[in-house]
Amino acid sequence: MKTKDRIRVGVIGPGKIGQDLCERILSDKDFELVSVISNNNSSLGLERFRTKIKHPINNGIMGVESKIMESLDGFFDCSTAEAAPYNWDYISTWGKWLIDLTPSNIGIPFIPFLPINQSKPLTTLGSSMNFSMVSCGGQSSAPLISAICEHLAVVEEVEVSSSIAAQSAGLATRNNLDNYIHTTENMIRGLVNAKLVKVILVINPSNPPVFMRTTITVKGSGASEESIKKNIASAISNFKKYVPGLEQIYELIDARNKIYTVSVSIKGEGFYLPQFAGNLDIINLAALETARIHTSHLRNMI
Amino acid sequence: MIKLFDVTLRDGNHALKHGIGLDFIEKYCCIADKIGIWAIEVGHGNGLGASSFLVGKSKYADLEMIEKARNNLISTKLSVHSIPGFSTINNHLKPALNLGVDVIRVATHVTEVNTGRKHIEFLKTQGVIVQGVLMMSHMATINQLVEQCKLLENYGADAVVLMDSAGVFDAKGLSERLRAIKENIGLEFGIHAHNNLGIGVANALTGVDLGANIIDGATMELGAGAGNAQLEAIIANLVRRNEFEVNFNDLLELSELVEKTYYEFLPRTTVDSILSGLHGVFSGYAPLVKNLSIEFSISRSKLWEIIGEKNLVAGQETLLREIAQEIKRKND
Repeated sequence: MKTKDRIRVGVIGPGKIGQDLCERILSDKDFELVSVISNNNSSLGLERFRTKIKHPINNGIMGVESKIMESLDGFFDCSTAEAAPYNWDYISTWGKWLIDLTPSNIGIPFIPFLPINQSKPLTTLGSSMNFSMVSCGGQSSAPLISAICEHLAVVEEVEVSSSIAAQSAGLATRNNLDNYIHTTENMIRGLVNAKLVKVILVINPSNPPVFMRTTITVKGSGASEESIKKNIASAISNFKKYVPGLEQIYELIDARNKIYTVSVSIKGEGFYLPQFAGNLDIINLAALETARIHTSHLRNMI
Repeated sequence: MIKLFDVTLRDGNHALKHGIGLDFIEKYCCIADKIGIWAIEVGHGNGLGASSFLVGKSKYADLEMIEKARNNLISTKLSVHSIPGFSTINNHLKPALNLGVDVIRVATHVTEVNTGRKHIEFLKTQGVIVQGVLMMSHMATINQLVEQCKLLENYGADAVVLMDSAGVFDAKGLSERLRAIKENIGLEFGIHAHNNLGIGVANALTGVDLGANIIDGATMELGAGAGNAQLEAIIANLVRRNEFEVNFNDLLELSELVEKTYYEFLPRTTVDSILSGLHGVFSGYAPLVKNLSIEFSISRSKLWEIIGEKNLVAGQETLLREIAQEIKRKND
């Protein structure tokens, strides 16, 4: 992408996920990291990028000057669920998009390449949009749920169980397990019409840490085993285009018993976060892909 | 006062593949209510909201089982088990509270107590007794264990229960841990012993000796893996020590109900359970380990050993399959 066409973004909250995201943006030719916004003058994360960006901000989103606001395409919010609504209040008045990586749940749940809110096609959405990245379990399962369910006439149950390394689960995650489960279950309900949706999260303290794993089980009927297998294979190959560390590790397609199971592991790229933190990786990768998709829609509309 | 905690209708559900019958729950509660048991726990083996493809589907819904027990208990308290990550406050705890549960056990892996914080804090506002349960407690050092118990104390839990999920402890290991809890923690504490190495009842009594007053047991040992410390034997030992009184005819009736209804499911200490105990692996994995070793024609003792090395926790059934595949691949 030409320099002038790059997607100009700000990252709010340079914590663990935020720093990983910043590093990715700095090394990605599609993006220009214009601003990193912290509300903490002694933020180590902000210090780390101070010399690499034009506008380091240490007094929160309100500290971003008007002319910088105008020049940006959108923001990534990696702060906290509590701060996210305030950030969005301000950003939305500027007509910018925001990709929310916190579990605040205020944006529309978004999974790259999947139509979750089919009543509102993405191409008709305006520039000022808030996209929720749902959860790591949601991002790692949705493309596969969609692949399995596409040709099923009846979907009785969808179950997603993920296990993540204890070392990659911060306090926010631990305090918000309910939130994680409800957000992910709601996303799945928006994606497929299933009678029962169940989400499970296991925090695994194994040492050395394990890679994130997600197992999707669908009970349903009305599609051939071949068509489901074909769909899964193609979903995995599309998935890997933006999540390179994703591997299929198990598949059981049993039309006679109406059970379809697929497991994937997500090995992080080891960018800034360690490789076992695939759960954090996948959220950042989905966020970048969402920004590319939305920007390309907006630019094509003009 | 010793509080006998009967897990037959919950841990026993592991042995029954989560298919415990509502009629059985009714009959069991009617008899158990006369015995002087402090609380009876009912539900899926992994607790509220755990019915799933991952760990097994319940035959009856959580609320059906709870309601059946509630309707048949007068003097004995009704308890449920709940693991955050499977259950949520809105989806599971609130409906259970509405049915009049007296005790809720919030269970986490021994080193991950903070995943239970929100649930414990919520439950403390609801007027129920909240016990923090540390699963796979052998996987923590004594210092870690004390640290985690302190968290439970800070969150407001009423008690801490050490679960020897894989039946690993002997008297020495258990004593060290219970002494550390007694010295550092102001909560009442309990012991949940399993029979993997054949010493469940002995461990329960070691607990009593060291001041544990919540003592878990299951009738006819009906429980995960090699089964739980046998409730009847715990009671008999306490009676002999003048620490409990019971009408043995009621106990006989209770024991025979379990034996007659679920004879073919009664657990016993097998070489599988011994291996799971030796390698410190969750006993609930035993049926899957057996099936996988047959499916992939691999050594079962090797499979237990590798699972132990990987420090697996409950709920990682899919990883078990990968480990079996890996052993098979290396063999070929």
